[in-house]
Amino acid sequence: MSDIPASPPAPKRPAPSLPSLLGMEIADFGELAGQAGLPGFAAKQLAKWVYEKRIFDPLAMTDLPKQGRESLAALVSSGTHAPVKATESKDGTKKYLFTAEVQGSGAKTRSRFIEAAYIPDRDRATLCVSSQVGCKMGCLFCATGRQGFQGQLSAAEILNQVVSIPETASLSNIVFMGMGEPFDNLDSVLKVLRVLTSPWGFAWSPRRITVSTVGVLPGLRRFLDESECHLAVSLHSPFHDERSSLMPVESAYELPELVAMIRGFDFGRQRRISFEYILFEGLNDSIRHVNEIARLLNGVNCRFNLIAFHAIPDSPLKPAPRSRLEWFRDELNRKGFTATIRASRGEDILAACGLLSTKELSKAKAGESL
Amino acid sequence: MASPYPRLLKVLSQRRLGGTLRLLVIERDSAFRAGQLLGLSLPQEGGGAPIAPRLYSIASGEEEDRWEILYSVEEEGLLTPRLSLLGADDTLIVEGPSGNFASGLTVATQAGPAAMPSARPPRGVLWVGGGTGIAPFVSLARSGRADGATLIHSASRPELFYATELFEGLLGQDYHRCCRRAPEGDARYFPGRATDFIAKAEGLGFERACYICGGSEFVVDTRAALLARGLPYSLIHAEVYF
Repeated sequence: MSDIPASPPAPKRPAPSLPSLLGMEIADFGELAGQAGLPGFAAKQLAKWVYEKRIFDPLAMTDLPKQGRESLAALVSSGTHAPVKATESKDGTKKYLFTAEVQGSGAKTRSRFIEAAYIPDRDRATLCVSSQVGCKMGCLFCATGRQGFQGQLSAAEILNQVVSIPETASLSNIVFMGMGEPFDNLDSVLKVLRVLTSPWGFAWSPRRITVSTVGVLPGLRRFLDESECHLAVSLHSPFHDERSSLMPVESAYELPELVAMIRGFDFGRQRRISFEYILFEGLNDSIRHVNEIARLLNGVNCRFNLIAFHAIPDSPLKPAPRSRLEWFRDELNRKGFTATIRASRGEDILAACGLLSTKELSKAKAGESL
Repeated sequence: MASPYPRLLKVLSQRRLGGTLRLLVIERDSAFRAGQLLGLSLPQEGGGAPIAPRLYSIASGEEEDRWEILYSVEEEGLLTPRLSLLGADDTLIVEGPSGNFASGLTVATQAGPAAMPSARPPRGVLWVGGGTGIAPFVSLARSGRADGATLIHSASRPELFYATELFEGLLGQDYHRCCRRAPEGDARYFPGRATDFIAKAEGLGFERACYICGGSEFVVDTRAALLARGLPYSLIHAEVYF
């Protein structure tokens, strides 16, 4: 593992009071154009500059009238800022650290840290983005859950993770599996998905984007209706008591309700639903679990990602051995599901699944400001 | 039959309790189990889609003809400042009841991987509530299901405790109040956080099912304190406010 300088170097953060160009939708660009004294059709030009050409400085948008450009420059900030640190794993995974401005008490914003993981893999390059600073869900196995919740990320703060890493042009996939529960910040996440997939935006195929949830049902319902992106659900146990001891969300939104919602939705042929399943030794890795999963999801066209547990300090949970993951995969396959074992990436730089945390950095930052 | 779908229900009354605490009483239109939640919402000011519903534990008993919601007014919140302005005959958008927390319908009664759900009622449970996280335990107590329970309630100031008389009467010595800003020498309070109390408590019995309710940091810290005292994780269940 090695620390590498983030490229380009971190600029001074823009004034947070100005709205960000990054994250604007076509209607927002229209409104902005009006404020800047530009004609309505300038909305499309603005979107093209920002999302197609990735030019975030209004003064450089040369097909707009000079006066309009100057007005725009006074009205908006770019919304982009480079990562403040990058760490590279021996397997090529890179973890990027960003600052994010989150709303504190009163009108003040506080600077906090978030992480994103860049995972190159043969013909794919996946970026795992964060949707919140910390997380409210409190899952027993997750380092982010241990740091508590420090704030929601705006659409611009989420998109910035995509556009401000050096590898941005080579990305093939984006997964919302970083810090936070995406469906607990759904307005921002849906906005990001619209920007990523709209023809006026980055025009990505929704099939290149996966949003992962622990099962926040109101958010899930909206996501299914308003987006075409793939869905991943953290399952980890098919039994209520066991799941609720791992994931407090089970107390509020029970698995049968979640499955009923999924069953009632037509995913079509292209949209994929997958279940994430971390295997803990002696806890959720038995034939009883395989059988209950098969009963619960009988007839649901889905796949399983089996994940090796990356132990966090003082955790009472133990990783299941590789042979158990293989056995579990084979048993699920025998039941007719497609199950694969997810390659563990970036464990040495704490970028692997469930290891992202900026708790210590946030504490240090808070200490500085005292 | 429970109606999970959003509908308008009438406010019956609202009481200002200590500090930022409020008790909202609304009409009840369906059955529920103690420990369940309601999603509350209001229309946006100036139109548009309603505010995304926030989940609140029901604090009233299963046999009572109304729903009571205990909440704290968050100055910068979208919903609670407006909730606090509601009075009798106003309406709000209600979803649920939903969820399954501390209801005793399926309670793991032994630790370890072989623990199987059982239908045994949750006798001898340990309840830990942070702030308004006391609500589901109030509901359980008012539904006649506090037998053998031990309650640890933590709040930052004495005026933020709720249902103290109920728990003093029902639980006696098994009711513990943790308050960092308690008046010095007031024997009713443990002068610290719930986690401090758990770390120091003798004879609490760390081999029984434990239910924690509160904000995410409270839940995470309390769970860590219980694990440190040897309570198996398989016996710890939590409800997080989000």
